[in-house]
Amino acid sequence: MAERGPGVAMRPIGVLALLLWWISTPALAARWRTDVYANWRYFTRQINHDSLWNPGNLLGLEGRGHQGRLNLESRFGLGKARLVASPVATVDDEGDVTTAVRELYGTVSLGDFELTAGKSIVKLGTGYLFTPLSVISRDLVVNDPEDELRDTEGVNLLKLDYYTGNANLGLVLFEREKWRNLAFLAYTHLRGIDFYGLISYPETRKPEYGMALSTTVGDRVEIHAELMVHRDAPVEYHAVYFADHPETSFRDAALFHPDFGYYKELVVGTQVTVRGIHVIAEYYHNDWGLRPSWWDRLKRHYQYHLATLPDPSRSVDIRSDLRVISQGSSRGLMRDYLFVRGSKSFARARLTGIVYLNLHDGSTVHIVEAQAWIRDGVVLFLQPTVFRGHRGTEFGESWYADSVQFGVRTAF
Amino acid sequence: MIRYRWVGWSCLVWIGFGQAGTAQTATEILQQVDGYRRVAESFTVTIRISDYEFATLKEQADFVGFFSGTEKSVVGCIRGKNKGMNVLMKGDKMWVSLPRSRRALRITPMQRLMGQASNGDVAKVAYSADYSGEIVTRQADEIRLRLRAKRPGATYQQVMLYVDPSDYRVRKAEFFLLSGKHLKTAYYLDMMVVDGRRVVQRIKIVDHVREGAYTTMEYGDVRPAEVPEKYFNVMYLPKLELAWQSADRESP
Repeated sequence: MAERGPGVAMRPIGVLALLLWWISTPALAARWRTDVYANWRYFTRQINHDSLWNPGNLLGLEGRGHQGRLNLESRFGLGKARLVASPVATVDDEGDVTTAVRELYGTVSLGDFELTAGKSIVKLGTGYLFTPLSVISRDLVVNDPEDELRDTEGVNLLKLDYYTGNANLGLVLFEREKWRNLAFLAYTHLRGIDFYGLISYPETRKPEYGMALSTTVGDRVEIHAELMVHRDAPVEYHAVYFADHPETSFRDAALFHPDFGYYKELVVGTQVTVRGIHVIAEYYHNDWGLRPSWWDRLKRHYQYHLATLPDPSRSVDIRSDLRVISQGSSRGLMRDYLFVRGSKSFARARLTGIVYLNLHDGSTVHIVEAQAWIRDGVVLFLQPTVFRGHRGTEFGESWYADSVQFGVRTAF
Repeated sequence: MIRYRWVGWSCLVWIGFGQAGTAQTATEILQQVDGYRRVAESFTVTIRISDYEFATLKEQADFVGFFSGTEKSVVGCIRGKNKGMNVLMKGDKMWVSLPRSRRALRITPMQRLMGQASNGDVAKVAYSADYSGEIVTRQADEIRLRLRAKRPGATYQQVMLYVDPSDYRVRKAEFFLLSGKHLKTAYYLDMMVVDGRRVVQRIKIVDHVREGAYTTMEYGDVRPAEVPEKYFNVMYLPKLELAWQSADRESP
């Protein structure tokens, strides 16, 4: 659904330093290994021309293109230390090359303790797509929840872990806008149930608390749940949500940050295997999402100005506001969603179907992915995505686009 | 998500260990069978799995496994479709790592069976722990044992073992579902000697559901090893770089 690329491009000096380090370290390392991952994909986007937010393709969002990516993932062993470097280069259809670092960190093992420093991907929790507990590395996208295209980037952090065979305690200092985010996490396995706990003290100085569990029931059913309580909402609200006459409400600064108390974010999910088909279903809720009445007011506001103002730029501004509103959550704008994924594996192929449902208005995202392993480490994939919803629904009239992407992934 | 079945057979192979003994009851025979399952309390091994249809190779993958006791193991795919993926088993609990997104997920026993050949209940590494046995026939050249699952959640409710009475080596094992359906038969073929113990080197698993389908598993580079306890912690699973650590290992 969302498309992401490496977020922070490296400066040339950074690339050079990494290259030198990458070349020289094997000479020092007791053992080293490099895996090469590359993917190329072609994509085409077809915008919904009936979209309230993009009438007549006002914004010219249709498009097609291709993208290639090369990721070298190297590991070096130096005694009890381990270094991991994972630079990424991405080239688009105009030939522009962007370089970034997916991960670059060192780890030192001291018995049951382990110290990690650098840029690393750290996922927490029990959810498949929705992972409220994962306050460090957050985003997973609907059309690539296992990060097959290696889009996810690590977070700069300093992490101390203590492991036993059955428990883990971890303390993480990590960077978002500032190096002022702290998280304490705990895991244990008791009576067949995995328990996770988290206390986070982010740079907003508004603490977050979370817990998660997972277990199996019988031989076919797995269940999992996560609950996070936030003191701060990661979104912006629009003033028209609360206006008596949203059509004519104007404010120069329409967006504001809400502060209404505690916000819950939770996921309840299951995995079931039936006749060789593996099904994952997750219900997701957050307290900061839009209520249907708020969404309705926003639409009325937008429609009024689109119809009455000679210059549509003002309505485009409102649409831009909507983008800002949505940036706090990669899941969508509303409060409740359902994710269902079914997959069946064959000897050298896998077929996957995904439905992502807005439970407030019934609009959906449908994704089908066919993968074929044509030889060891080489996978062809085809992934059409279709958004459905009548005018007035989130997926039916936002900027989401029907799309098709196909390509090849390699791993050596 | 993954063809977990490989992992199961990588564990079950060690049931083929055998040495001479004087077991009389089914329980004693099972203890003999289980007692020869390991070259050490903990060890590592490499495994090559080859999937055939009508004698044509369809898929091949290499794994490295770390085993501790009879209850704990972690197996990583170092070549093949699921390269980089690790599977952790503790008793009848199982987790799989998703290597690209650096996380581990709990999975169900039935997910172990995903894939066409459906090769087994991967978490069950000790027959005597998970099954109760009875002697069906005892002849000079063969003992037949019928094993029944102690727990209803077991993938196979019944296993028929064909045991060599001279050394209690399993020659053949037949696996049945709860419905009584005969799902597959495992033939324990070549043997090798590791630290003075005989170890099964190759198993052929015939699938009775898919006509013409069978899988071979070849074992090699068996080494007694100290396996750190944290390797069996699910939080450590995404960090466990078995492919890297086993770079110097010899495939079967």
